[in-house]
Amino acid sequence: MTTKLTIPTRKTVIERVKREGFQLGAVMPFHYSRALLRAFDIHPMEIWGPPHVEPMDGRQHFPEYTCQVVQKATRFLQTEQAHDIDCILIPHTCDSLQGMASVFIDFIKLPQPVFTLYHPRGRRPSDLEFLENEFRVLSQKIADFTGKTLSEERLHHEIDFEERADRLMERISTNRGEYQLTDREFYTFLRSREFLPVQDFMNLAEELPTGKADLKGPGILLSGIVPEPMDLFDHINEFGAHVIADDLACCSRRIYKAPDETDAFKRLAKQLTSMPPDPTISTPYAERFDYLIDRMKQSSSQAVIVFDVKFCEPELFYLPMFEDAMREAGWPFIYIENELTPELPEQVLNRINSFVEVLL
Amino acid sequence: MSFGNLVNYYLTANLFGYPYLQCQKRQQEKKYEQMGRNNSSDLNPPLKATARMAELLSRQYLKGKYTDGVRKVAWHSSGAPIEILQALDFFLYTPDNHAALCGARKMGVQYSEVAENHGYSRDICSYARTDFGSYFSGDTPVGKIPRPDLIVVSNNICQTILHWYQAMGAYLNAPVFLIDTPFLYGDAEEHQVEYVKKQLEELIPVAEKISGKTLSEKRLKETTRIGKECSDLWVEVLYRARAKPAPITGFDAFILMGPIVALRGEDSTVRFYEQVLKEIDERVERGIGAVKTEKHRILWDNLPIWYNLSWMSKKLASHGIAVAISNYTYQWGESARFMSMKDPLDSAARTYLHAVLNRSAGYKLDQMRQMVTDFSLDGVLLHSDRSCKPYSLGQMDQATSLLTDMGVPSLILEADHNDSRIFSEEQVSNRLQAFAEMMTA
Ligand code: SF4
Ligand code: SF4
Repeated sequence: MTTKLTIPTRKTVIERVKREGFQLGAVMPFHYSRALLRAFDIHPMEIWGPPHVEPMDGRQHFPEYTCQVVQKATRFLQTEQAHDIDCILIPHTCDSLQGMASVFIDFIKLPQPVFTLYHPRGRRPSDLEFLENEFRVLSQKIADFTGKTLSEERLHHEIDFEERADRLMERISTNRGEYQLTDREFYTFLRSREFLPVQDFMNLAEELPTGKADLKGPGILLSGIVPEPMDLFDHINEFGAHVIADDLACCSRRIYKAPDETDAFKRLAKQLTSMPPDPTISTPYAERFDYLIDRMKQSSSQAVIVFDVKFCEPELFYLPMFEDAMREAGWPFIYIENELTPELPEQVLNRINSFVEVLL
Repeated sequence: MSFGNLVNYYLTANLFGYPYLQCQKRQQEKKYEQMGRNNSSDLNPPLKATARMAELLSRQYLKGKYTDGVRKVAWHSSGAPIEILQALDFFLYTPDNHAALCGARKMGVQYSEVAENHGYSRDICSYARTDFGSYFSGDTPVGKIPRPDLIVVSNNICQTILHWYQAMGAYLNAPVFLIDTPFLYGDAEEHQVEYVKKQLEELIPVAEKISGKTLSEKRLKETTRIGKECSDLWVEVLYRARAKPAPITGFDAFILMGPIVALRGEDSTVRFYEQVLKEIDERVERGIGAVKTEKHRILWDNLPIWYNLSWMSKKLASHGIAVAISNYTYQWGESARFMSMKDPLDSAARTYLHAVLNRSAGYKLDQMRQMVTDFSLDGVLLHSDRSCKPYSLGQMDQATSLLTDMGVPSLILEADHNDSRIFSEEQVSNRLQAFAEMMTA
């Protein structure tokens, strides 16, 4: 199968959006509103701990038991490559990102402002109301920084776009078998939303080659935070299996619903609390596993690979019950930890290989 | 309500249990007295009140053993607002305290291993692993843990605790109520206070329904008042260590903090801390320091290393180092300044939102700086706690700032609060020695 996708590089996107008058916002993982930033002419570019970055500088600020997403992003944000960035947004995803935001604000003190966004862990009326207010406060801070006044109309317009992109993403990721792409291409496309302008992403989605995918061997549900390095997909294919569905933080855990709401901030709050169950927002355990069982059934997945970044506490807490729930339902399960290395270590490859062999 | 349990609760726990615990307490006090007379150590004996504290906590655990069917039980995290629960007469149990106790009794690894055999990673908080292991093995040093009718958890210390308590709720099929406290990167904003307050309001009907009681405003004011009194006394206890030599060390405070965490809002806790204060004042008057020859005074940052408390305090004392204050113990007193009987819910929202662990690394540094001045400190020991990220991230920059801005040397010591498997006494000894030399230079 050949690559039929032409996805611009991050560098090209940055140059273009800058030319178009946008500022660049670096965003850490992972629940936030792209629409709100876009409404202020800030283009969001997500940082999931670039694997090629050496974490050395990160280690000057964080102990070695901090995950590599934080370590590498810390390093990256201090390199020359980050000079184009105008502001940084760190959502409150976990204790590690909380620490990162705090250290950036209080100590590292980059020239760019660092914004934060607290995501409430409950789903009660008070949680929604808080998130709405949190968005208002963030919006005011961004307005102060950009010197621009937020237009509600523009915000609605951007939310409309994001909702359309979410629907597309939902349709595409639940119908993996209908796209003639390798797993790596398929997920490269899904992940391009981390840096592409929403319209570009939607255009790209329309151009995806449709038709029965050439998927070999058993279909696997891939869970975890971020599939880095992306060679992971090639190896899974090489060993004789394919990824038929995902529960990745960077992909399907960010497909939000489209709430029926006229107030823009209420709409943002409702949207951002409508994601699928997710450890980082502390979804009750049973709810998460019921959802995953449904996902396994809908996608006819035959096994689960959880591919996580080492030291990711939210994921680790859900792991034992996740494994029990899957095994009880009869699905083989494997947990793999990696440190965002540019290449997968031999030991990891052997484990994936043995796991797939059992499935064949 | 089971008649058998009722009888056990009042007779066994109250009538027969107390005299036994009293007797144990007296024996312990005698032991401390003897230690005082016949003591070649670098440390003076612990306060006699320590024996009283053990009695208070044991009494609570004893009651917990027989509380099923007699009183409704609420589990709560160490930083959770308990005033509403107390006003509704819940029997309170603090899993964090239990985990710390297991750690202090060197049972953290044993339980962690059980949890790890059930699939929990060695990279998650060792308190959580300890409690999971205790639950899976059905074993606990406190006899029996009461089953929760309600679990109230606040993430004002970390997000981790939420995962831990939710897991226990799932295992025990108990409802979990979250008091979500947005992290404060600066001062609390009004929408954050409002949010916490609303959740406290939402907790009331839930807790009322489970307890079968109606919340009395008068009683809530009363529990708030006593809670504040306990916290204020606790701050006084800690601040007595400004005296030179320090009459108590951070290690004494780690032990004495049990009631402020688990029994805040009880009259007995107020009386206990009054007794502690009295004893400390006697020491100050007589110029008795916790460390016999105090040469250096330092701050302990982060959780204690529970399984090595005694070794660590002796090791530091052997270099003449007194841990005059720990910011960890201070957190149960600091934000009590917000507590007010006038508006218990609003003040509780502010109090619990401002817990030091819910505040930025920069704020923690400011607090350390203040303590360096207030307690005339010569150094800071930062325990880089492998399985407690919220407390440990930021320490590297804090250490650098302390040195560059104030000339205060520090030592970052990597360990874990409950898991002794990564602790090397030899390595730590060498590093402590170097630290002492640095402060002497
Ligand atoms: S990998 Fe896990 S611990 Fe690291 S930033 Fe992401 S959610 Fe947090
Ligand atoms: S992670 Fe730290 S603050 Fe959180 S429960 Fe564990 S020891 Fe306490």
